Amino acid sequence: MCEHEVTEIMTCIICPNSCRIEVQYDPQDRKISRISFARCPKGVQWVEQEILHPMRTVCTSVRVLGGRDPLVSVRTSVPVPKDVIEKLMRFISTLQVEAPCHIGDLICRDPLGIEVDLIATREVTCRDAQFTKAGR
Amino acid sequence: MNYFGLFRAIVCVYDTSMKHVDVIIIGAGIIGCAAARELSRYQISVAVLEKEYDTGFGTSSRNSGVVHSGIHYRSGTLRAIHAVRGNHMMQQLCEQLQVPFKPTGKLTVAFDRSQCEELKVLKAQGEANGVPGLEIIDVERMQRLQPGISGIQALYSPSTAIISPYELTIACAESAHHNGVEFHFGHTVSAIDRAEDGFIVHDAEGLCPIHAAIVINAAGLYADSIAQMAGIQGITIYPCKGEYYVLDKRLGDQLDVLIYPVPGHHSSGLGIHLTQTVDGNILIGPSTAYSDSKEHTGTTSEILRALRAAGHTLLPTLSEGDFIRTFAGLRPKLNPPEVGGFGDFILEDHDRFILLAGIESPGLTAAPSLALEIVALVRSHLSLVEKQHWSGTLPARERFLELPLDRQQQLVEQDPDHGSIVCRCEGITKAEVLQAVDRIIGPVTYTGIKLRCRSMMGRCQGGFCIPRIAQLLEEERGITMDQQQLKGPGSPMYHRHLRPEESTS
Amino acid sequence: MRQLQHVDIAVIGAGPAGLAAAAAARSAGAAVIIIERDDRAGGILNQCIHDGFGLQRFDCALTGGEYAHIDELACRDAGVELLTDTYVSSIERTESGFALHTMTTGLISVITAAAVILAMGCRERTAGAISLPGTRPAGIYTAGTAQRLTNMQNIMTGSRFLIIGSGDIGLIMARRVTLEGGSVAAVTEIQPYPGGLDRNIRQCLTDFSIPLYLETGIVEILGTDRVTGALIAPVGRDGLLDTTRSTHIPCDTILLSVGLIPENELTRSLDAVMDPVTGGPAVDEHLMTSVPGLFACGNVLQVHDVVDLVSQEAAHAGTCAAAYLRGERAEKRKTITLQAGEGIRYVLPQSMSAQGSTLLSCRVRKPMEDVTIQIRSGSELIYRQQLPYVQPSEMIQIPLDLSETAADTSVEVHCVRT
Repeated sequence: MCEHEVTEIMTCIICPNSCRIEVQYDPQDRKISRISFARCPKGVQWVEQEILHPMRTVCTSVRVLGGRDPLVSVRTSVPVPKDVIEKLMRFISTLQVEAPCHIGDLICRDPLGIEVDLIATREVTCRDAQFTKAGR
Repeated sequence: MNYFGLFRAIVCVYDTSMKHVDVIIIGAGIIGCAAARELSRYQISVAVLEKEYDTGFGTSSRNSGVVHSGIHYRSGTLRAIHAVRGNHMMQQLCEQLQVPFKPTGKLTVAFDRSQCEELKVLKAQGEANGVPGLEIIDVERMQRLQPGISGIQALYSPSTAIISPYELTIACAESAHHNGVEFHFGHTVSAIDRAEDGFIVHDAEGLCPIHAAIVINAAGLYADSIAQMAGIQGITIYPCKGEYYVLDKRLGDQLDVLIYPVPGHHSSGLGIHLTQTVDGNILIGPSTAYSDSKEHTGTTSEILRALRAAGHTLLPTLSEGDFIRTFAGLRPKLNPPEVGGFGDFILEDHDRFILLAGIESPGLTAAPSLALEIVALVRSHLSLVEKQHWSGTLPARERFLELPLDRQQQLVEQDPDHGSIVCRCEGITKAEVLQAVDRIIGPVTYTGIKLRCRSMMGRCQGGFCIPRIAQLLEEERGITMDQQQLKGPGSPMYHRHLRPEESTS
Repeated sequence: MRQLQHVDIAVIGAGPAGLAAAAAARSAGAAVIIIERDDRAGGILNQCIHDGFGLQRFDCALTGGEYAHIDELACRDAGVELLTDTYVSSIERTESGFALHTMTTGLISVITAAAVILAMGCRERTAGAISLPGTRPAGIYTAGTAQRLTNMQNIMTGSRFLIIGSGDIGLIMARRVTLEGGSVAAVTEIQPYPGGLDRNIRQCLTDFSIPLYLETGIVEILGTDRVTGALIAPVGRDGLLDTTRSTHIPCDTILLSVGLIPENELTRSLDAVMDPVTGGPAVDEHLMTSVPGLFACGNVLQVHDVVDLVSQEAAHAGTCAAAYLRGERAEKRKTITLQAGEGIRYVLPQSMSAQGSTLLSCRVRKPMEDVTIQIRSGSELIYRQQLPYVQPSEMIQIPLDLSETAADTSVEVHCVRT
């Protein structure tokens, strides 16, 4: 056993079984020596990915102009490698879009050149639209 | 900061030639504000100087809100005289100022024979002080007044009542302001020079010295330092902290009458007890602990633990979810910790410098009476001629959800904002919040709004309404997010915009 | 003018519970109106811009807004009427059901309904509720309030944060403010185990190297005008904070994530029987409270950890409410009370009339490994299930058939070591 090796218990987030998977690995070399207590292969895959190249869906907000809300919430179209998140956030902080926005709208196509888009996750109507709500 | 910078600039516009007023009141607590209102009847100029950014941010908003009957004070003392007279005046004052007043009465409860003897002493003292209607009552009467009460005998004082102490302070200030009194907030007095025909009062920033014929020291916890500035030695104020819990309104209807234990001889407070508020909450407290600081109104885990335990004993149906807030107030005591107990109020005229010190309990009750006494002292130096158009009343402030349906309907038709709820716990409408904002004499702060309309005071403590108030202030009154403060400059509510603001191009 | 409107079912709250309940009741044939105090449907999901919703129901990780949008569209398509910006100021029982007094901008009106589904959700516990000692300067927010300000109103509440309590919203906000350039000094938790889901510990704290201090509490909040820091200390042997080991954490903002309280003021006003442990009304297997025709679902009934289960529970309430209106709910033949036994904090529903099966929800008192959930009626074992790991932050659900159980008995749920 390598001297840097650590043992970690990771609760699997793939399904509601929430297996408490034990993984032994070397954090410096990112080398896994053992994975135990996973009740399915998906769990093993997940642990491998978490240790070797973790991916995250980034969810944040983009400034929207002329909208009833000042922000439209967005997410990445697919999970991105953890180490690009900072760069992505810096880009998003200066981004501005025009209202209206609809859920699923493409807010920005592939800002980092890694085939990941930004997708709207909130409906933002135009500011003037609030006065044209259907009467009760 | 721009907003407050602007505010200061307006206040200090008379920088070049020294400003003169007839009377300066230092301190916008209940004593200062009640005195300001009484003085506003006359054709004199009055300015109130306050280091905080609103009225009643100190001890005046941090107490039980009880209008005491006057049984506890030795006959002939200022505390006895002014408590009894203040109590007598309070209901009418509250009616004029539209401040809720609830005559609850009070039971001082004895648990053993020696305490029954104490009750007789208290009754005799109260009667000597002129307290009306005192009766020693038995268990049966006690049970009728408050079902489930323990104890073997009680002294019933029907003239005890409850009010909202901060609402009274605010209303006195508002009434004074309507009648011409100026208020200078964020104005810390740093020096007082005796001058020809009066005093020059300097502020900490050295911006606007004001000349006044008469200075009234109503500085509460700081009455000693202000007295010293005027050359009066020998006064020391010892802050003595009282911590409280506020309980959910769910329990409010369990108390019909105020219930106090028989006080110990050397105790510096009246003992931990339950007090209902005019708004339907119950307070547990106050504790009694001398403090080193005149500013630190923080609560402490040991005392909160003791209050919780006392609360569970006094109110068996209390559950953990019923505690909604803690707060602490500082009593301005003249007696040092090693002496304890209560000293008498000081109200003295030092050649046009009117000194009030040690106005702790029953200071709130005594305020209307002390204000009359202050006017009498001012009259000995200045001729006081009544104004022709003085108005001592304030317009009704309606709580929308407490109104009959017809009136609600009428209001909603007049102003649609009445139909929009901002604070769900207390049921405060957008119109009520905006009215509160517009009533504030000094800078608009969240605490100022809270004390005027009860938004943020309910069981969720602003969790729901703070974001809505943030939006309301910005959209309806142009106070942008970065200008919004909790209680004045230096207490910003928010840090920055998440994303840059929309440019107006 | 005062308007009178009559519906079969009025749903109070258009969060995930209200939307799912309304859609289910409408598809069962009832005329349904949802009354929502905010300016849009979705409730708290609108401020939950993070993903992770719908893993069980849709098998993918949606954001809160996306999840709510699906249910809102379903309601709209089904013909549910949605009243936004409308506040129910009071509710009373009438001969034919309920009368709801509502307020909206410029209008006060009364809505009458034969049945009401409560879906008001919950509120956050406050600094006062946890007796947080110290001063009350600017910069103390509940995590959900900060979440709304940040995600809906474009307001960053602070720059250096201390998060008190490890509830899910606090964990989510730790990540949120870190992504936006703030820093989180620590998350403290008074219990020996975290309050939030493992997934959130991993993705919100571990990812950003934010320390989580378990068995740690607040000695004092510092600062007079704005928060300047806090003194924190570990829990000592006597269960109180060991102030001799206190640490000063400088920060300008405190976020509280110390639990949720079902919002039941309207429920109490109808004198419904309450469960002191869940903080919600006691219900039967149809999610009906002790008040006939008054149903409850979602966080107003019990605080959930996953929205998927809220939707499931609410759809059941909607279906049952519609059945109640059709008079399909037979007279109770027998009553079985369900009670929390060893290791269990609460059980829901609190009673059953044994008209078949139900989905029982419960939570354990503390984290345990290798346990057996046992359901007993007297000495008879009705149900058993082994679980490798249980913790209070994860609700346990058990499909249960009690049609063979005798009337007027008490059924107990236990969690014991295997």
